[in-house]
Amino acid sequence: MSSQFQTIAALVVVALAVTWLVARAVRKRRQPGCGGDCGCPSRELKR
Amino acid sequence: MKLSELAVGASAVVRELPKSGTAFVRLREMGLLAGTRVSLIRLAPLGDPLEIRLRGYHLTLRKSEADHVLVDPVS
Amino acid sequence: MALPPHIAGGTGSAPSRTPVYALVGNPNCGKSTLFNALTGLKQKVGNYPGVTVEKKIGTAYSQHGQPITVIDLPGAYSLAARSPDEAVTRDVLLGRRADTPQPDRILCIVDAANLERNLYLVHQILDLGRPVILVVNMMDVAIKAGLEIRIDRLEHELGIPVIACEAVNGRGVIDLKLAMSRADLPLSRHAWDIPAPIAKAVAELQASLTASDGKPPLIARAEALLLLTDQDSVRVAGSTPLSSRTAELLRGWQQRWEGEGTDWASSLVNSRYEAIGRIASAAVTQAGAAGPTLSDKIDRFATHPVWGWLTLGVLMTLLFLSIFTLAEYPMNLIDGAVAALADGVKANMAEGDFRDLITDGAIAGVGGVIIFLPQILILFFFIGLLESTGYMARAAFIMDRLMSRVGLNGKSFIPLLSSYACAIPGIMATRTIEDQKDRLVTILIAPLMSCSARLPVYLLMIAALVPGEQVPLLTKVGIMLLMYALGTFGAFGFAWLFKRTLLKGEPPLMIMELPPYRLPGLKDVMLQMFERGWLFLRRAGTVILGISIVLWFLAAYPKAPDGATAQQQLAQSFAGRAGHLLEPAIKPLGFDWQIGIGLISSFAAREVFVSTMGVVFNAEAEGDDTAPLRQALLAAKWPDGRALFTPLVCFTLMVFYVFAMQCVSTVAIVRRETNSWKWPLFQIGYLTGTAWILSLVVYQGGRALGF
Repeated sequence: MSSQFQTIAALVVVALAVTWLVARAVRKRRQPGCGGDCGCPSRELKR
Repeated sequence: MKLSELAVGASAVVRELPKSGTAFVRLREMGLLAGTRVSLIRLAPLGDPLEIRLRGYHLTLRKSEADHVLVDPVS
Repeated sequence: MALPPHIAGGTGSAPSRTPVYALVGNPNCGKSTLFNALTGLKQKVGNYPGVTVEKKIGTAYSQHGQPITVIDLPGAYSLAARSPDEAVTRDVLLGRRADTPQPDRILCIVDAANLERNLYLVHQILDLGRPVILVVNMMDVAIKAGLEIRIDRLEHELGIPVIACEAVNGRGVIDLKLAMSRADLPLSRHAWDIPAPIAKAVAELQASLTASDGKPPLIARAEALLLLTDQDSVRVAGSTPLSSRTAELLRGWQQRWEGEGTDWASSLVNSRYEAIGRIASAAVTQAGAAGPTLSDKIDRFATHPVWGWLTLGVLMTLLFLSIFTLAEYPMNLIDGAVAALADGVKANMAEGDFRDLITDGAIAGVGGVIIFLPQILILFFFIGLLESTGYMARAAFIMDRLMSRVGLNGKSFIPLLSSYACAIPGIMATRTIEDQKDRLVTILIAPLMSCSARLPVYLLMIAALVPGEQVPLLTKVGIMLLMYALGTFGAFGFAWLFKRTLLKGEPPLMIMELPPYRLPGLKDVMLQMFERGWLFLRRAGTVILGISIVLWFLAAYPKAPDGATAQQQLAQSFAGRAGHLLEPAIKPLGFDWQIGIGLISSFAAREVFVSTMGVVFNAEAEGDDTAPLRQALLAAKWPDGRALFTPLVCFTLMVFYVFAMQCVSTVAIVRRETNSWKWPLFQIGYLTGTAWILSLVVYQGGRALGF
């Protein structure tokens, strides 16, 4: 793999990671409360 | 006499509980009623709370509540 | 999780749909064990280790393979709820919760050895007019205690199916499933006499609740009875206020009884217990006086003024020792595997950004966190064990007096102890605390208990603090205990302060059942432990992976011009710039901008500090070596050549981590549990402020003393 191709691949992965993290944070803001980690009750179970 | 004055190991029958107060509603619901037989099992290592036995199970309560529960000792 | 369509669908009971059962019972009667036995692994969980604090939904299968939905409700002593935990149970059963339709049928589980008190809740539930199946659990314990329980008499008295059961070894579960899949469940024909002076009030309140509050008649009767059990009508009515007509009616009756001197609140409880007494005397025979049970004998020791403390101390020491010693071997294995993986990738890929992302970002970041899995499993295993044997209640009994010194009660002990594993389950476990102010104080101080996410940070700092390759075990445990003690005493100090200033209140109650000791349900404990472990791994594989990748990017971009050193590259990067921005605030604590990067990333989760340090300092490492992080840290220097991670800085950093509120997940859970942003923001402020001030004192004091 050329170095340039690697750079592009790395940047794509980073972009995906950022998108996912942001989407997660936004989803959380709309549904304030438990973050969904560490065994939070699912949304349906919540009040 | 007061429940809190009962000797460790002694048994008694509850005579009266205060009519109101969160603690006493809950104690009633846990089965501590006038006429219920209780025995004082032990005090916690630091002297408070108390462990009592009633209706076949063990319950803890603080001295401050036990002071208001009046009992008649039985031998 | 998606709710099964038949639950989401509404309350009508078409014959074709699967029945929805609610599983209800007192705490400590084996409810969770029965739930596990019924549903196996078919559960949608939202629970935390220790107490069942949220609803769990599972699917059981009848003998013919028909699915039966079971909702596990929190343990409760009465429908007149005292704690948020019990309120959930009450509200689901009364059909007050919008998210969960009223269950069609109710499965009541009682402890055979403690029938009378357990039947109180059952007696209240029978009033709801739903088909009920009674499960008499722990028959073996009752037999050992010399109790003979005649199931047929119970069935006869109550008019509902009664199943004898030993949930621990699965006995009776088949019979129970058979009963549950019956299409026709009889309604109880148990009748009891509401005391005469109150009966009229019940009828009037029922009519008013039906007419003005829109309650179905049977529910209205149950609610009327609850309103007349407790003086505090707000507490009983829950979040929906009573209609003014009903409230007026209630007040009128109360005033009238006050005037007459009728002890109305207790007379309902009394008459229920009278009815229960009749049932119990028909069904239970005590065969001879039982001598002291094994539980009594253990308690003579375990709550002894001297041996009791010793037992508690030994258990806590064992807990923490085993975290360090038992976990060492698997941790080394994981460490070796992670290093081998990184080396393998390096050997098989051409040099470039993508390879760096995989090794320095993903593998270093996730590997640095996964290594703590063994410790976390051990911690959850121990806590589960203590819960399941019944020792936790003794710990609360012993600790109550001490906790009351700072204005809390023994019940705060369990949430605080759980917080040593993770503040989130600890904070959720505060739902068993009845008093709102006590609960709030416990929530506020819970993050001070050093959670397992801080272990990685402490371990790394201890490794960097102590000279030599191998840290002696005693030094390690000693420093570790010091950190735990610092957090714990800090927590009690703040509890004392809050109870005297912000959250003044009555001294809390300590009405708690001491359940008999039991052999731990190893299956249940293991199930919970693996649930926790899996959630931790999932987090490492998702959030922490994502953050590691982003952090790698922030440290690698924007690119410095060709020929720049790694140090210059990092200084030039986004992460370096953010760290530089923060540096003025943390320089007085002895931290530089590189540590600043770690502090910022810790907001995702504290253990991310370790992986951040991995990314930050491995980025400086040259060539292909995956040198231990410790050496990279020791090699780090200030621009003027002074060593960065001096023993004093490492120590200060640990102190900072003891106090600082850095965990986003905890903030989120506090927000949810307190239902406002006020308390989580206050918590961030007071904890991080304390962390900064104490770190300043430690660092500057240490410098003045010549460290």
